[in-house]
Amino acid sequence: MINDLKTIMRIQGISSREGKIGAKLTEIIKPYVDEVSTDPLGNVIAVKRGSAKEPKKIMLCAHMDEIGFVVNYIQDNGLVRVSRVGGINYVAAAFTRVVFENGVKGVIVPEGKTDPKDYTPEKFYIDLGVKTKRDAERKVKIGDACALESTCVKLGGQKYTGRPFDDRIGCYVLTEAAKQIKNPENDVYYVFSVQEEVGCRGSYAASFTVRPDIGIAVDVTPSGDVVGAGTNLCVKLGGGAAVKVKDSSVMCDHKLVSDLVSIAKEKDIPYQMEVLTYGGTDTCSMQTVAGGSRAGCISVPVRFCHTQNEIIDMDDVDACVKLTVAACEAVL
Amino acid sequence: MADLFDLTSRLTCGGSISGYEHGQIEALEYIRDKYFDEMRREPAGSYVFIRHAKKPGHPRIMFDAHMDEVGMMVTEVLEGGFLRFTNVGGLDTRILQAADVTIYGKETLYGVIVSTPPHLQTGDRMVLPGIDTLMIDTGLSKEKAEELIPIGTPVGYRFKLTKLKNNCICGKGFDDKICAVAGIAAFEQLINDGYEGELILLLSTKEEVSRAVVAAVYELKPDYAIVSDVCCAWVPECGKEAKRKTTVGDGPEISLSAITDVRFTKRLIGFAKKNNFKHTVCVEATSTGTNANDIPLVGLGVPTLLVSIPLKNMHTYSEVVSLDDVADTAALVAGFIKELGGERNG
Repeated sequence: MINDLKTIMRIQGISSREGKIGAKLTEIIKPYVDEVSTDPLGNVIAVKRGSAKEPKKIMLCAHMDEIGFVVNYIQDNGLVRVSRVGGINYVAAAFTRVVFENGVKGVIVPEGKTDPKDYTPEKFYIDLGVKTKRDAERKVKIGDACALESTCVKLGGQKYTGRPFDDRIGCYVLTEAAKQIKNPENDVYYVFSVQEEVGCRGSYAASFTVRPDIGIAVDVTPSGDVVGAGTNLCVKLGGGAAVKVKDSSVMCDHKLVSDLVSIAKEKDIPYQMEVLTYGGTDTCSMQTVAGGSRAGCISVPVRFCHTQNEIIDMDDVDACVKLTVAACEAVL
Repeated sequence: MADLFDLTSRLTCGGSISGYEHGQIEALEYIRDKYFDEMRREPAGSYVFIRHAKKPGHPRIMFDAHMDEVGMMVTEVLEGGFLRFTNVGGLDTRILQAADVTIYGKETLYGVIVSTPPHLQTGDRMVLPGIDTLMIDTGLSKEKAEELIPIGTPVGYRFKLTKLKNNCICGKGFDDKICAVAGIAAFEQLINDGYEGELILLLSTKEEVSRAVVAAVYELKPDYAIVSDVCCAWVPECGKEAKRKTTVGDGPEISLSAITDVRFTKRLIGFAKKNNFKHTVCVEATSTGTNANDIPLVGLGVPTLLVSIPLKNMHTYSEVVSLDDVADTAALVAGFIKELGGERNG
């Protein structure tokens, strides 16, 4: 089980470069669905047809892209300057290993003596261990992308640390759900979306194609059980599947929220409510594209999101799988 | 003429923070029964009201006002029945302390946002509290509060509606229900005058937090959109040099921007001038900060104009508007729709 997750996490897929991870997810989900295809943007859209006479369309959506960097300048001394792709936390990224698409490795570091308060993208460079521009250009070119190295390590209990749990853990929830949803009444669409980290762009196109009646995103949400988290993060690691009420991008459909809560209660699935005061998810695009849909989100709590060492609890993940399956089988 | 005060009272008495517009369902059903043939809630949450055409051939004109209002949402229940909360839409923490609120939990409950009295304050009194340090006092035990108020419960300003002098009124949620009142009044006037075209009222969802209006417009495919929202009225604090001087009592403000349709807007301004409808014109270079930003781009595009009602104290529980401005807006909109209705489709 954890090995399936590790497989999904190991394949790099920086926003707009999701080809390889898309191909892997296609291969994983294929045996459990009726059709699977890739759209022009790279979104993987799979569907399991429902048995009802006039089935509704339920769209599950998890993004397969991850944050990273793109090379924008190579200095004469071989140091590589990069521009960010998505919400990079530079304090967390400092002195961390990065991997390019072609396998080249480097370390991203701030210029010496830079106070962490003053960390800005311009202050960072990647050390490839080369001395000249020519040597650097043999390894990477302007426009090449890299991401923090992918890892996955077990901690205490059912907790794991590594990256990118955001949002391969959502992709994993969808693949596990697909294995369990065998004879749905409604059409269940599994969408692995591209470019979420740069503005939920992939899911806009995918939602337009699917035109769902109900949209459920599966994504991560910051856990409030860390020192100094402040008073407005109500989600806790190990507290179960988080049912999103809002984030900065969306007010979830209130009826879908209460339906998800009722299902969780009825099936005895651990759940908690999520009210996020920032952040955005594919929920917003599913809600508003074309004629719109009733949209919500099931979230996996994660500590230290967007760092090298995100932490999740597999018990929460199990709860998310159960709630996703139950939601697709219920008449929403 | 519709009873503007009564309509305002019906539309603002309940809670309808963004995404929870159904909190005003009684008012919505009242409007449907009185003026329209059908009402539906579209998937993203907007309410669409349609009065069918009595004769074919008129353009399809949609009037949009957003049905949601700013508010709060519970994030945690604390010892002593206090609630932590976050904002839904733009709130000003200066006016939150000691505010009366209504909590739309499993029961509708009253609460008060706590404030530290000057006697107990230490340090710099001028420092504004962050919203995450404010709490709502429910007067309940923690156990009871947890039972009645799940995390995610919406909270709104307490309803209060007061008549001021000069036909002004003071209350909460006028942003943007006062414009819905103007739209309904305009439609009533059209109906009384025997207008035979289709009339579409869109009471849109989640304007304060998103661009969810686009979903409803995509399905409706109107020929024209008239968006109405409130605008910040001039007050003395703005100074005499302020570029915008429209204030309460000046009548509707017509927006000229790069986003709304220029020809359509100029046609309205010309119509207002020619027929002596009270109005002002405002220039908003690239953004109107309203649904008029998004509606023009839906589908193949919708010619859109924006007519605003001046309002003081926006996003507070003491918003002030003039019912004369509402009546003037209704008259202008009704007159203009009649003019548009005269043109034939195709």
